[in-house]
Amino acid sequence: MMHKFGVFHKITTLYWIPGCAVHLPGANRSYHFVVILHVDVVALKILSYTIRLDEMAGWVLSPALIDLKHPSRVWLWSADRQNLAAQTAWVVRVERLTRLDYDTIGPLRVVRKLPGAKLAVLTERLMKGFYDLKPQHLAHLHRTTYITNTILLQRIDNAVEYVNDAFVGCASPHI
Amino acid sequence: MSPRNKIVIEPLSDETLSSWMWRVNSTESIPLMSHLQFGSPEGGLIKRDMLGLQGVKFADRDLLSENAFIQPFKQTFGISSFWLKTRFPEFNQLTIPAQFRRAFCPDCFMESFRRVGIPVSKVQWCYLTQPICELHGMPLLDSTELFINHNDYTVQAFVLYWDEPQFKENMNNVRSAWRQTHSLALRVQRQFQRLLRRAFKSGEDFKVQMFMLSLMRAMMMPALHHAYPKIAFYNWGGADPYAGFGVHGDFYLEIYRSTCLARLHSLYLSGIALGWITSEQSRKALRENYFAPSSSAHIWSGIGNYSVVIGLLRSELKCYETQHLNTIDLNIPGL
Repeated sequence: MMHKFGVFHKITTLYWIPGCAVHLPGANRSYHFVVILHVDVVALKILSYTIRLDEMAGWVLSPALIDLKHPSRVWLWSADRQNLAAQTAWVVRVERLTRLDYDTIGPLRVVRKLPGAKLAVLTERLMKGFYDLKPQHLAHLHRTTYITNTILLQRIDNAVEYVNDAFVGCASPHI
Repeated sequence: MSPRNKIVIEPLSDETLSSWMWRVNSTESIPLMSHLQFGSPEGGLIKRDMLGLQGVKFADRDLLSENAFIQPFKQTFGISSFWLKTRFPEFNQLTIPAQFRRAFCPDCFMESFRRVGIPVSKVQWCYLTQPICELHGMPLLDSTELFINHNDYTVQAFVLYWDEPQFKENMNNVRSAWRQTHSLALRVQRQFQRLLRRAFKSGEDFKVQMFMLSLMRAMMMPALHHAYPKIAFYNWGGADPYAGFGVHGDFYLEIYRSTCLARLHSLYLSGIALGWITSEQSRKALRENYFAPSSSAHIWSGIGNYSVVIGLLRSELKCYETQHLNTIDLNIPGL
């Protein structure tokens, strides 16, 4: 258990507002959204992510590693913390004076263990994974600023995977 | 009459699968396909954007594996898979996604119309790095109606070309106003095709194409929009004008829905950056567009103010370096 506690001080929360809006089936407007990334700043790996659509929309997608039946209480505690981060992210997006711009990833306070160069690499990889579309995602593209919720998760998964493979090789996401 | 005995129309050289299928379809007394690609049960036209919002996948009709009418065609006309595969091989270059295709050459349309009585679409018009007609050496035009909405899209585009007010006249003006730039861009296109043929032999064709595409993406960024004629940004694919919310989205995605004229100018600028167009040649073209960069130094100083774009381009090009095309040729400052 102690070993697992040791992991958490390396984890930081980053916020990312992608430059597109998601269209939900049956809705007549589209929503901008915040992606909350939980990053291991030492290994520079994205551990999980949560998407927050809109404070009024009332649904939060938690598709990644948050398993509510997980045997480890530490893990559940961290999952809860992530959920809280998701709740506050939208408020931060709306209410802060200097709010995050589209596609600029940043922690909301200074993180000692995440130097700018590392953050730049992470941003670059994440953007390439998200926007440089694979042929199967390209076939769904109809407007560059709109995305459907089915493709959204696939594209973010793709981006996260690409970031986590960053140091394996310089392969394009197409290959 | 048994299906075996039917005579199937021969495809013209470089004809696309969907274009040939429409020609065959129109000879049938009871056609297999409607002229609408996405029809409602009431017989109305459902537009592409509506389907896109529902998350529909836009199948590429020009690929044998994705065309939904291939099976009924094979049965009705007794066509073998082997014959189809040899006549309509897969694309060997990066293509414009099917939902954004709208490029055509009016001269090629006219020739095929005279020859077979119906305009015929060509495979080379689908390629991202070929905005100029190889045969006539003229820039391709963009139909105001996206091809995906109709099965008889060649006819639709041909009719629009003649019928839409001022379309033909405007396009003729464009073709004559930037004659020098167009011919230099054609030279770049031909040189790139030669390079690509060499790259096919060494199996590095994908990387070479991605290198060129990345360069074209960078040249299409707003930092260099002063080098483009304004008309290149009209009729941008889909409902929205150029530009989304962020730099990365613009860089990676806008080229897929760009107009032929925009791709032509980005090819021209890429030619200057690569040194394929000398500064003497580009200086002669300056009288057509006084503000266009005429040397690679001008280009890099133009983009240089936007460090995100330079950083993006640098990391992209590093991924796709080969013996045929590499960053040493480019002289990007600070690389």
